[in-house]
Amino acid sequence: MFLMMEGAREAGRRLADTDCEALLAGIARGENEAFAQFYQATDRAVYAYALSLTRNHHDAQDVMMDVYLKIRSAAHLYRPGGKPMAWVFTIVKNLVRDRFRRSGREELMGDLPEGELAISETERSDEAMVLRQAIRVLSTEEREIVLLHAVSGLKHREIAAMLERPLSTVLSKYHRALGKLRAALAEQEV
Amino acid sequence: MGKQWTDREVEELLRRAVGRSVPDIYTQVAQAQVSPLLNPDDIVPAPAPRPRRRWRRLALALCALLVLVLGVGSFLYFNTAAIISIGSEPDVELSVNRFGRVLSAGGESGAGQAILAGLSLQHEELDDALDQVVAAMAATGYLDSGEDVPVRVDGGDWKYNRELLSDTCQRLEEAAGDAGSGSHFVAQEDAAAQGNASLPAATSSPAPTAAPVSTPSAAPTPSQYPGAVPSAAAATPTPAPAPSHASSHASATLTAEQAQAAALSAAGLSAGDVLFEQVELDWYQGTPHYDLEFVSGHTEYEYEVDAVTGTVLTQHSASMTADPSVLAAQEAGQTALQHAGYAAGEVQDLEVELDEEDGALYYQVEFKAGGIEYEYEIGAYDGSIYKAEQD
Repeated sequence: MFLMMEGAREAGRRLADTDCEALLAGIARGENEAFAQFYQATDRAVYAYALSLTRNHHDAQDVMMDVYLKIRSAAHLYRPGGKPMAWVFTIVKNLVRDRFRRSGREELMGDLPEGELAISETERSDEAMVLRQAIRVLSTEEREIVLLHAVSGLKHREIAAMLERPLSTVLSKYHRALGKLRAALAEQEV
Repeated sequence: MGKQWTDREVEELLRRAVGRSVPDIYTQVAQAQVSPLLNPDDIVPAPAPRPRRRWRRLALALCALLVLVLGVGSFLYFNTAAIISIGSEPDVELSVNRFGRVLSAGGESGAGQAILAGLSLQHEELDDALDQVVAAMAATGYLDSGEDVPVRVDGGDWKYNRELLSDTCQRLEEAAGDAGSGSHFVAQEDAAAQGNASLPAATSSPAPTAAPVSTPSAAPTPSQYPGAVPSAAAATPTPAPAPSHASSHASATLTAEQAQAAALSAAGLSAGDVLFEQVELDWYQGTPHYDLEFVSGHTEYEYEVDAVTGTVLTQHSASMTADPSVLAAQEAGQTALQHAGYAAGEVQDLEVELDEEDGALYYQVEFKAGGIEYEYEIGAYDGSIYKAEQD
């Protein structure tokens, strides 16, 4: 029952594309309320995607901040009729790439070293272990796909379009990644 | 060993973990000063090309259609469909398009040039042009001799030529009559066209004398026609053309009832077994004939009967159904007529057709009477009225 309620809550957080576009238009006009609603509806998705790319909480938080500043300054450049969240995720990805290019870490999208998470390393809760293993054992692309679907709420078809990969590839990678994660969780010492 | 998780549990735990980890930076990002970005950069993706609006494509399609229509229309308009030659030289030649407009007019002889002098016939309706030509002929004394004037049509297909020739001769005769001319316009037709024509072509020479105008007393009795029987069917014939429509060749001497009797005799039917849909007097090459359409049983008939001799010129019949349990077509027609309160002779444009919809067979009966159009659907098996509409 708890799981179902959480899922419903997550689904409710996600905005329809048209609503998302309306909020972006409001942000472009400088409406604070529009930005507040947009932030509330997207913060978890943006953070999850940034975390999947950076592998550590602090970088993800910095990227997240840059993303929302960028959205405030560039919402007027979004053209209605597209995919607003795909537009946002592209900004996330570009900011991550730019951030690591500046810092000399060119291994972006490769094997970034695992960093600190927001949840303490010593915490032994189920969710802490799952997130830790996801960051630890999954490849960058697997993390992207898993977090975009499970946390950000994107459909596999939308992920496939965003990553420019065939849907079948995204689906197989997703299920393989979950299998890998479950296996790692089953083997770890409690 | 750790725990065993399902995919769904793993997904949900991930959601909870991220939910706990998301920093609250709203205040910082909401209050920070930002400058509007003027153009997309390497962070903000360039907007996707604006999808073309539908109306633009529609407008383009309409423009293309307009160009096509104008092109085809221009081609058809300026394309000569037939050439009408009047006089023995011929003296006057009119080239006409498919729309019945004169494209050019030429005088091939001195007389022809005199006729056309001062006339501007280009783009005129053919009928108007013919009226002007005849008026000019009368004014220049061209028609004073009383000799017959040959008329030819060339260039189109034989059927079109035939119709155009017939119409042209009628119009010329009318105009000549109005001008008080003693000359007559005589149709000349190609031998090839005559061979194709379903009706006998008029002779071009010598000019026949005008037939006596038919009067009721002059009309032959039905017994004068082989097999003709008196008809009780009372379909109203379309009013015969005025005498001026007749060419100089002949006038109808047969009444509509006699034409019906001749057709029934040829079909081997009696008047009580049929319903006449159409009895119309028509003219071809100066020869009058009746077009008759009627139904009987499960068959529809089309006949052409010579309006002078009573000879059956053409006959066609087609079966509507092979199902013997289907009601006779004339009964269905009578059902509709009775429902509307009319007799067969009191209506126009009567049509009785067998039709089918969703497996239900019915007769569609349509006619006009008193300025009202009637449409009925009569059950093909039981004769019940499915639909009765007036418009």
